[in-house]
Amino acid sequence: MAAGKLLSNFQCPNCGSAVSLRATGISLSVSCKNCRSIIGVENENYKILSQFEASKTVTPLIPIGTRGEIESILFEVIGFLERTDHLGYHPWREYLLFNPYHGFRWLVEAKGHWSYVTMIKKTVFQKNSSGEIDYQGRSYSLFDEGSAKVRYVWGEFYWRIKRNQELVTKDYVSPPYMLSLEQENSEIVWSQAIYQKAEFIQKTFNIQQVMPYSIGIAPHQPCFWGTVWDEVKWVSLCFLIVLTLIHCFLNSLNTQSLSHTQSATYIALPKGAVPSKGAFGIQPIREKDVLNSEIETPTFELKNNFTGLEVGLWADISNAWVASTFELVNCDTDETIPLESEVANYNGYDSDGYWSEGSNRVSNTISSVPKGRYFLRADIDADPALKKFDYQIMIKDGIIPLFNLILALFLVLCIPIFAYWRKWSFEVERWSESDYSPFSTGED
Amino acid sequence: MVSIPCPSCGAQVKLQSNLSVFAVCSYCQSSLVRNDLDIESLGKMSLPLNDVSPLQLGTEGVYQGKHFTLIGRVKKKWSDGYWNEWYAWFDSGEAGWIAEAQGFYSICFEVAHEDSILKITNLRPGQLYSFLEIDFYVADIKKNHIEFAEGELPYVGRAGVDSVSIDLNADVNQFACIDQSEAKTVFYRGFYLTFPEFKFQRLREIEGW
Repeated sequence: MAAGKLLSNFQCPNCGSAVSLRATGISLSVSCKNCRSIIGVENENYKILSQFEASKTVTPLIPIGTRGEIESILFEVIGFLERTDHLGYHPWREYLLFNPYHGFRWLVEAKGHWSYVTMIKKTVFQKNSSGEIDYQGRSYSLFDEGSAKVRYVWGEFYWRIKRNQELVTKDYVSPPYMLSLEQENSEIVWSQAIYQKAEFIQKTFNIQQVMPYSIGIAPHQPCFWGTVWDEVKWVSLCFLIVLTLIHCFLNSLNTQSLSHTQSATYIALPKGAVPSKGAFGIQPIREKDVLNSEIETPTFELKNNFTGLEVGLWADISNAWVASTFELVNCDTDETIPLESEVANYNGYDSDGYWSEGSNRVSNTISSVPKGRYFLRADIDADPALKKFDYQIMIKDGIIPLFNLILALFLVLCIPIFAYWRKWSFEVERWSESDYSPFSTGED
Repeated sequence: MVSIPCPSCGAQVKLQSNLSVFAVCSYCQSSLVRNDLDIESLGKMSLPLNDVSPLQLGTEGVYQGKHFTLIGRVKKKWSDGYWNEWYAWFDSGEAGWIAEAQGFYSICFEVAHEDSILKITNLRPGQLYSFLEIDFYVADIKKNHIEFAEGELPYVGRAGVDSVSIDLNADVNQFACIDQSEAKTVFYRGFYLTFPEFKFQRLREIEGW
């Protein structure tokens, strides 16, 4: 059989200028570039179908006849439409792509965002329980309902272009996909759009001009941080579990070799009653008139290298505070590690009854102490109102500080938290264009 | 395979399918009808202008792993254009139809089903029509007639014969068609497939592509 011929030329029945067809035998209507007539071309008896009186000339960014390859299929642009909603406020542009073997596709540009569109031979979609529609394993949410009419035509089409033809439209999104319905009377056409990057379209169709600036977020534009979130959320959860397990494991591994408690009684002496040096056989008092404000533990050995040392302070007080400055002293090197602790305990009765705040006990951990021989020195300072109280200092080694775990968890979580926050703001902006936003309160 | 002599030009017209009752002589384009042993000529049929299909007689393809060859075609015309129905003959001896319109391809097979003519006539687009345990919805209803036929066919592809073609869609690309003519109502069922899925070979060349 002879090779098929798709190209043909004829004269416009209205103005006589040459009109060429790129899909002869397939196209049903074509526009005359000169007089803007729409000519019916289903047979050689060319008839004027309608006349488009466009107030301005719209030049397609991709000229009719341009070829480009999408998903390894070569397509030729054979038609161009500018369509708008029924008010004419939001125009968008559609390019009809043709391949004699693979049929037709569309390239749609709205507010600088591009879509590659394929018609679906399916008339009915079942809504699932949440009011979304399912297609090929994805759930699509209703984004927009409106209408569309043709404002400007260029090139040829496989149907009869009608003037003032208004269609009812519905868009459902599941980025980067969108399902669109177009309905005229009882005829329903569904199509599926895939979001495309403008750079890809520019390269594919070799567009020399500046691409239209993209405004806002398209209904089906994929969100980069959403992808990141989807990819890191489970990994982060696994890290979280693993880190917690490691923490517990290390805690169980570190043998507690030391647990020491030392008690003393703090006595504030009346002014001027400074005892002579060594009068009570204990350490002398310095500037303050206080007994037992400074104590030292016996020397102890830390056997675990870089372990945490828990230092506790307990004071038998009520409605007062006690603070201690600790110094952990290495017997071999004389290096010291300082630590501050404070206990405060207040309570009483008011109109609501008994209340209390604070505690008699506080614990702090010195992390990563090298192994070696140490002693701990405590310097107690107390509420001037306190005259005498018992207190204890406690030391315990082999502690893996919780702080390390919290820091690690924070580091692990900062990527997913950041990704989720960005995804969330992206989705809020996307849905701000929709009447069906899941983020709106429903009042507007 | 059987051979019948063309009553117009005497050439041997080969029939691949024993189901074929209609053939177009590839030498003189006469339409032949086989009635038992008689062969009747219905006159010549000419190829319409601007007939551009990527498929042609002899095109081979695969469906569900089974190899087929296109041995006949009817080109149907309706108010808004044309479509082709290709008669596909499988190596296994089965026969099906590949419909081709605006770059959409479907394959279907005749199924045994009966319903009242009135019910079929009253179907409207969007309406539910279940048959053989599948819920189909009417996609469109097209009045059409045969514009052209070639190769061999299981029915008489006489040009100008009117019929009503009802296309039905369902989930997962399922497709059905009811062909209602004066003579009888025939039910077909199958699937929409993409062009690459058929793995077509020996396609028609198209200038510039």
